Amino acid sequence: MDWFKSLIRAVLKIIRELLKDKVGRIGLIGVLIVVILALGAPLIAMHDVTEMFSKSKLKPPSPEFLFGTDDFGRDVFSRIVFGARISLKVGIISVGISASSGFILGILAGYYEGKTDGIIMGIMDVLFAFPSILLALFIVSVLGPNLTNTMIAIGIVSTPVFTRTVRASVISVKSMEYITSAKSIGLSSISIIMRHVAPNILAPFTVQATLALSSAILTEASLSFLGLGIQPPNPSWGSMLSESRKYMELAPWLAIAPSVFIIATILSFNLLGDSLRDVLDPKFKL
Amino acid sequence: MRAYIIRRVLTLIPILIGISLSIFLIMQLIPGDVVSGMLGIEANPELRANLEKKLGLDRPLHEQYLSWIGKAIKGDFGKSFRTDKEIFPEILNRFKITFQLTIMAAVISWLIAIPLGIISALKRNTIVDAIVRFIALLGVSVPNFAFATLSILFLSKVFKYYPPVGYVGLFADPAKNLKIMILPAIILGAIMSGSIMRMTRSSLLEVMRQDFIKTIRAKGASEKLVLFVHALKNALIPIITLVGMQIGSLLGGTVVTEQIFSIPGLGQMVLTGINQRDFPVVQGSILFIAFVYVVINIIVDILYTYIDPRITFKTGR
Amino acid sequence: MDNILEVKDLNIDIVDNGSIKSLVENVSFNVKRKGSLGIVGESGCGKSITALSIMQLLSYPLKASRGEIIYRDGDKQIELREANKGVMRKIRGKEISMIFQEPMTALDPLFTIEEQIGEVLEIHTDLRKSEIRKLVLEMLDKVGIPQPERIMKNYPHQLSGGMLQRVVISMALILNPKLIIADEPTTALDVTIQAQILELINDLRSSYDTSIIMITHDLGVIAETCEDVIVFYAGQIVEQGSVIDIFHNTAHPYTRGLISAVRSLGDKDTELFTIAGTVPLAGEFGKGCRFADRCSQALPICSEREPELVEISASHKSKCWLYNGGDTSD
Repeated sequence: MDWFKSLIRAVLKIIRELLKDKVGRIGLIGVLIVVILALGAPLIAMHDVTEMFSKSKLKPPSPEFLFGTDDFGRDVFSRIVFGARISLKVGIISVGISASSGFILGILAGYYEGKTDGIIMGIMDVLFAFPSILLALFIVSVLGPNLTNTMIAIGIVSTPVFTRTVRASVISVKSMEYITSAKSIGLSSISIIMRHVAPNILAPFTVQATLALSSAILTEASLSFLGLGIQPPNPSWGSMLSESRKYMELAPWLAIAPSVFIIATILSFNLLGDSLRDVLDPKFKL
Repeated sequence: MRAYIIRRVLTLIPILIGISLSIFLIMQLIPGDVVSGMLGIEANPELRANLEKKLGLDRPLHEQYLSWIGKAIKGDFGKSFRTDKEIFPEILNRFKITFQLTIMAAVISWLIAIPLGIISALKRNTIVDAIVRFIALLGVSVPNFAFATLSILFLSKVFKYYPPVGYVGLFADPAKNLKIMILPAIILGAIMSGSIMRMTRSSLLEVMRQDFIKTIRAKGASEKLVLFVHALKNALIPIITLVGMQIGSLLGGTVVTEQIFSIPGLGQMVLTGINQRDFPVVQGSILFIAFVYVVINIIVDILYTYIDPRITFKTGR
Repeated sequence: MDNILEVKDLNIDIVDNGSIKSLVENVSFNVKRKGSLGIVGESGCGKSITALSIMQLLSYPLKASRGEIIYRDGDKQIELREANKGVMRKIRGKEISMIFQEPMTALDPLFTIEEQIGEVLEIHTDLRKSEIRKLVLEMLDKVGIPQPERIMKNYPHQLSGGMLQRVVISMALILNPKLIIADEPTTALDVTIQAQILELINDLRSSYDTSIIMITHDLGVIAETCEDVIVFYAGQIVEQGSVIDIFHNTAHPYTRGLISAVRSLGDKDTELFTIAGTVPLAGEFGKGCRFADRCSQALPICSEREPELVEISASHKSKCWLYNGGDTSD
């Protein structure tokens, strides 16, 4: 229970430090807004996302339709709000996948070294050899474009980064003197590694996870833009932007709303990640 | 030196095997089978068997893989399911276009990013620095398709400028070609410049903190000499690594950009192949793009040895 | 004998979180033509930044805020603390050179030895490449580098610490400067190499008639190479005089402590002598003598009033109530 309390205390301290920094403040607030939108979507949205108001197609923003309507007469605002939910969901789950697989693979590669390490890192190198959007595109297209497969694809693509961090930490911990002395008292290697690796990687992991989140949201938006991610009529900011292109002359707001939200969300996570990096490892601050 | 280069080039082989193997294995994950996809589920069994034999699908997996990769090495990527035309010549044709776009975008990004990165480092913690860092942040945070769409919107509404459609080869009509390529190149390049700007800034700041910079100043060197001869050369090393990775993002970015601007490049080929379930096309074009990326990274690594004399002397970098 | 360098009331400050703290306070000393001055003190006492300020090599957040640094060469006299960049660039490497502590990081890893030594000549002279090459070879030979033609083409990472320091020395001396500032030139080297490098510096000094400021925490080095000494503590000069004054008429408890520490190293039978406590940090000085709380001979007045740096003989000054000759009663 104690470690839980100190974890909470550490988190609160980090948040306080983040708020002190201008950049961190903006990032944190931005992320918070997106989270609120995502969680509160059913309450915040004003209309159902698939409801088509046939008399109000391609209408500019108004009190009833805050961001206007699209070519099907759907409320853009409500779709944006639910789009936040989808973006965040994809982001969190895919980063969850990549972080956990990265962690496991990293521990295995670092602890066992030799052939296991060679195979695992070989696979990571191959994954890394592809331009990431191409790989995600490929995997999604093969598995079939839908929400789940998008998350899996992005998860796979982001794994190498986490694997490398964990592996590097395991290897450096293994070589430290106190491991040999701890072993001589009879502690099992795995538990030693876990106890020392976990706090070691916590800082870079958190920063990487935040940045991976922003990257995941970007990738999802790109995939949906190309029609290979979230499929309509599900509201994804990427696909909304793609559809808006046909109506740029008539309804420019259709392009602006999803763009602004995509950019603002990715920006917020990047700011948060940058600021976290400065807070958790001040010597990087330049 | 030469030994290092040879070693690096030899690593091409296991990586290529890895890439081609993963592409091949991932393709096997396609739900349903290829033949049903082409002929429909209720197709005549005899027709099926024929098609299967024709496509080589009746052979064991590893044979299929070896046959595919064996032919690919010789330049035979098979034929498109849709058009029944040879894939490889098409890939090469389109690659020229994508390559042009990539190079233009890369050069634009360096022209923007490096000077701004230097200024940002030299004027650290001033307004100029803040502005440059903000621009860099935007570059990293704005997806290329969003930037492209917004730019087109902006240009059409404000300047009544519509990007020309209808691709024309560079050597056929250079002027028109450049008019078509310039906007997508700027958009791709501007986005890419974000991360290079940041890396230039941090790398330069890191170098300027080193002891040897003080020694050079103590020799009576002007700030220009310190910066442009010594500091930049040292700072270039991590920047070049980044540029290598950037090419990957650029290659990926062309998929979207070519789509938006209707440019018949390799990226568009991948997309069309995917949409039409034309598997040989997808396999072949992705393999080729990945191959190009790996080769470029190896070239970048070799470039290092010309800049950093410490590299060749370490065994197993 | 005239002076080549005169430092008067030099102050160096640091900007720390918005406030300005004094790191070096009212430091004055002279370096005689062809003379050798040793600056001794613990790490962080301010000796290195004093040296850097002479060459105007301090960068933000450090700043030489007050005082004069006067360089004299024959009739001409140049103030260095506020000199403009153009003036400084002509002086650095040519009239005044510096040798730094860490030879392994002192050189640009991407350029050859020849290029880096040659750079000094390129900056200050109009010599042709072939002439530069010849001079570089001569210099490398003078500093005792074997096979100079081969070494010249090498990169820094290919040479050992001792060799690199010789390269740095040749860079510093190639234009025959009037003054060299050596900041702990042997600290980072193996003991066996240390003696060689010191000997090299001494030989070159006498053959070039160069003055030297030798910064070190090692009294042994001072004894071997310097005629005059300044003892630094917490940003102030606590004792200054000739090397004889310092060693034989020690006039400050801190200096005595340093000497005892060295002596106890050599003597196997006595306990290792240390000075208890640590150096106070900038901005945390009390109102009395900065050494008072570590001083075994402290008087009540020592914690109350800061002693002045006063002359106790023609060449010898001390900043201590015990030697002050002034009124020590409160």
